[in-house]
Amino acid sequence: MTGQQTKPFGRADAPALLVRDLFKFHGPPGEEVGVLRGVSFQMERGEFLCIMGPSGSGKSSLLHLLAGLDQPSAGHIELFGSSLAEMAQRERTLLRRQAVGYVFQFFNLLPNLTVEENVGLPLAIRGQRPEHHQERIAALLTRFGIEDRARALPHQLSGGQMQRTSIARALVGEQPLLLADEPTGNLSQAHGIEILETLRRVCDEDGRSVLLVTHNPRDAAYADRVAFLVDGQLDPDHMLHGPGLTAQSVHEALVALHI
Amino acid sequence: MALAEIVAWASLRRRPARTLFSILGVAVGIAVVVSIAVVDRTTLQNARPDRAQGWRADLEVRPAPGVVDPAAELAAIVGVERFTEVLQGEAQLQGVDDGGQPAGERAQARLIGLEPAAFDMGLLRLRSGTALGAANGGAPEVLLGAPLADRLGLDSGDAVWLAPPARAARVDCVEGALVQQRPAGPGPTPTEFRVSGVLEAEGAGRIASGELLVVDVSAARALLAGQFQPSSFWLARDERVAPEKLQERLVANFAVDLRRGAIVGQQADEVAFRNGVRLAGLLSLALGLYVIFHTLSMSLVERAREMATLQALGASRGQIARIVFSEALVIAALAGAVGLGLGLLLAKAMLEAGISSLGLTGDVRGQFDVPWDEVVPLVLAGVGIALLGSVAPLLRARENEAVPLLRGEDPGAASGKPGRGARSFHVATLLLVVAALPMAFFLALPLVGEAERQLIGLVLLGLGVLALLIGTPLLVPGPVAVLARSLADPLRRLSPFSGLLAARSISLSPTRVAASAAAVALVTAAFVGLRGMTSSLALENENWVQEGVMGKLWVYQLGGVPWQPLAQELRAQGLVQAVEPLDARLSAPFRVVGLPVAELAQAGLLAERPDLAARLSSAPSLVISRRLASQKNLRVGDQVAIATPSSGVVPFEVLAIDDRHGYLNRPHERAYAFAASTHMARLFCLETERSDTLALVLAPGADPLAVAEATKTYLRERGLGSDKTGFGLASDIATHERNDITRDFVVFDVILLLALLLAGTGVLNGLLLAAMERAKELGVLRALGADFGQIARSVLLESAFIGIVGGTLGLLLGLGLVPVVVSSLRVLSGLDLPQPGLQAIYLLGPALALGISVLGGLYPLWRMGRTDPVRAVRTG
Repeated sequence: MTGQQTKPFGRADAPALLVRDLFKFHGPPGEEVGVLRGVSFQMERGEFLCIMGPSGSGKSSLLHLLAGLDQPSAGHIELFGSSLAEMAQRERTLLRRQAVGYVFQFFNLLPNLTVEENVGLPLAIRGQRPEHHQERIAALLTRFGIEDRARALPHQLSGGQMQRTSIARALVGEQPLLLADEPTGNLSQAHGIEILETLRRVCDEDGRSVLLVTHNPRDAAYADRVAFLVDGQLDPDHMLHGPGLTAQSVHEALVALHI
Repeated sequence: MALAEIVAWASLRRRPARTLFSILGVAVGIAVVVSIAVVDRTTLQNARPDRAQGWRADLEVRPAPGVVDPAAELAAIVGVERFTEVLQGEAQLQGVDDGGQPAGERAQARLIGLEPAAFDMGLLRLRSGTALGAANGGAPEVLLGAPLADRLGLDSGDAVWLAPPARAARVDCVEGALVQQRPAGPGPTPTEFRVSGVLEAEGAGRIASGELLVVDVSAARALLAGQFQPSSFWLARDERVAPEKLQERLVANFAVDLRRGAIVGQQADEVAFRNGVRLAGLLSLALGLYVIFHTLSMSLVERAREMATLQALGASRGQIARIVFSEALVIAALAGAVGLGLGLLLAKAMLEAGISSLGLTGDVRGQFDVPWDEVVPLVLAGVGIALLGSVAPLLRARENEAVPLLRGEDPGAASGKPGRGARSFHVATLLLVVAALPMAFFLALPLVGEAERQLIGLVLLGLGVLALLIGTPLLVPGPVAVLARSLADPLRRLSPFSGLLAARSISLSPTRVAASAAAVALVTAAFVGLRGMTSSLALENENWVQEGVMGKLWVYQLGGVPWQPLAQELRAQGLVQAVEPLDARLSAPFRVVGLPVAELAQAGLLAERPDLAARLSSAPSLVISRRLASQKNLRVGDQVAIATPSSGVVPFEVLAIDDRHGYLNRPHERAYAFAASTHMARLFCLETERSDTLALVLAPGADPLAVAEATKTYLRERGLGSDKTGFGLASDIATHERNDITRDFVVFDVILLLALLLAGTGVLNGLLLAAMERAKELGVLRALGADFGQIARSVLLESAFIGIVGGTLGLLLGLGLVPVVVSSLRVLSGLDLPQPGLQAIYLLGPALALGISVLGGLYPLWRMGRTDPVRAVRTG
């Protein structure tokens, strides 16, 4: 799957993501803990955005809200011009199906499905028969170097292979937005680099928007822009982007933020 | 393939062990109940001599003297569903010539007068024509038996003449003499009838081999005018009322004859036995479903995470529901099909082995009647509940929030409560197994007989124990966890490493361990309860053997020898105390033997109670056996109405309840009575001087073989007896009766064995899933140098722990159940059952529980042995 997307998804003039004053509290009434406390940002189509933060800073919670899996306590989220707040659960599910590919830290491959079956899963969810899209699936497997593992079950794969399968699964439906939740967190350095290069290519070659959350400066250096989530808020003073964005600059920003 | 097919099929195919054990668990449960239904139906069908469908005359009653309106009396008795008056006699049948006058062959046939209700009772079925109609001024109508109609070439619409036979008057027994009864009134007058139809050769149509004329009861009365007309009634019983109960209600005003062929399996002890088999079947099905639900419960976390992933990938709740439903449907449908097949095979095997629902008998070999009207609903109930049990919790689980599941957290962890999926699963399991399943089961296969208090009490007690065992670990896991921890703690001291692992596993999964132990306990309790019941039966049998059998010798097929000279000879030799001639007997309403009082007074009851001997001789009275007293609820002083050939119904007073005299084992019958032979001769004209069968009451210390030899010598010297004359030793009869109980209860042993296998499957599933969950931990331990033997010991320790806890709990519960079961059975079966006390055989229950639990640990061990530690570490 190497071609550029020809038809823009959603409202053509809308950004991939628009987030305003997003709040999320956890816990029983009266004992709520604020995980996100007024997060606002915008992400353009075709952009590779990285959100960094220490463990427990709310990175994963933010992704769950953006994917419509969870509902915010307050605030506004727009995906390609569609406001999640105004949608019923079923509509959110349909939007997620069409617009969002998800890559998990723990891969979340279905243990009983083979690699190619796992990859074809989003197509089956859309009501399409994966066997009718064998070429697309095979191309993705080849692209991510796991074509010889097509019939293997998840427990027969290495960590890198599992995550590549997970990314192939996120791409097979040609969703314009890829949400990646600490995708290298469980991988060796070599496998991690391999995954990040893959995500970069997905952004560059396919024109997809990629939102990566991580706490690793090395990973963040692959993004176009890096934002820091501290105490449930994005720090506007330490946003990194452009040619100066390197692992070193990210590291320095983290030090400056006492993360 | 569609999403549901892809995910469901992959889950089934790539987890063959889980799929297989899930299917087998439900299938074995279904198989047990299917086999019970088939065996029960085959047993009953086979025991009905004519295998007649719809033959519903359960009892024949004759009104006692003084009953003015017997029909009104019968209508008022609870348990009488329908009845018809019956007049029986003989009649001559003749066709007509062209002038309408009697002509052609005369045929004599049985004449039966019935009321129209006979058709509603299913007594009569028509091969052709119509039912009896009103005469409406024309000729009255008659139905012909098929052979009679065929022989005479008669059919519907033909005119015939009927007349009472011009023959010698019948002979009746009057005061001990056979007397010819001269009919009063005018001679036979032919009456013209019209043939309204021809009867099928079934039900009442088989009477007199079909040489039969059926007319309205009023027409019969007119036809038989001037003849002796004993009026009787045929009753159809309300099936919910036991025959004995109905008989008790009838006995005040009627002499009752049970039409035995039509009500096989309905005697109180048979009803108790059949209900016991049904309850054991329900236990097995409940256990099978519980095992499966428990297995599903343990895999719920994994499945919930799968669902959360699918949700994150955009699957709707409807799609997830379809996946869950597809998977459950495949398991349930396969389980239903396999269960049906296994059940039929099991039933076939049981019947071929002579195992019936009324005990062990060779009669059912080669027979096979499948009651599809019961089997299909039973299979559907099993499949439906398995489906509900599989789908409901998983559908509930899909309601869980995806976010915590994707993180690998328990969805309820944040609130400090268990996951909604797990909790709802436990509630659903309890409701399905303890409430929905029994309701569906009893709708498809109702309990036999009247819904008596004791029976309902027993069912509720069983369900209560089931609910307690299943519900406790599921609904109050906290206390169970504390208990599990304290019980598991000593394992640490048994083996530092393996014991520690086992104790930790038990402490961390108290619900899993408790649920497995509960299944084991359930079977153990059932085993102990059953053994208590059989011990009680054996004890009751032993008491009877000692009183009614030991110290006697039976002589058969003497060929009707004068028994008194033989008695004198044997007594003179000091070999016997008394002789009981057993041929002067009748069987309505139960076996009554006429015994010579003077002879009985030589030993036993009448020797101890001379007053009884005097009263037996002076008036019609009975000494009844304990079994008869229990079954008919008779007490000393009660009156039993017995119909006589010529003196109407004669009341016999019950003088004593005792088993020492009058038992005859060919055919075996413990519910009997004896009266003075003088009364039997006077009222029934029975032969009392000669006898074909004798019971010799041996003198103290007499060798039965020596007595047999002396008897043979006596007979040989006098040219009496025959080649067929034989002897029955008390020890042989006692052994046969003792073994009979063991043989009868084989069917329970088979069911319990299958239930035990199900409990073992539960242990296996639990340990297997636990082993898979702990694969990473075990891989780490292997990496740290633990050898497989150490890990194996920990699994075996855990399985043994389940077996010991379950077995002990089951033993204690069973010990508590035995007195209740025996007390209820005493009422239900009409048997005088003693409480058995502690029996060594009870210990076999916990031993089997331990054995099956350890066996259940072997497969998980084998699977663990095949797990690559490196892979386990990486994929855990």
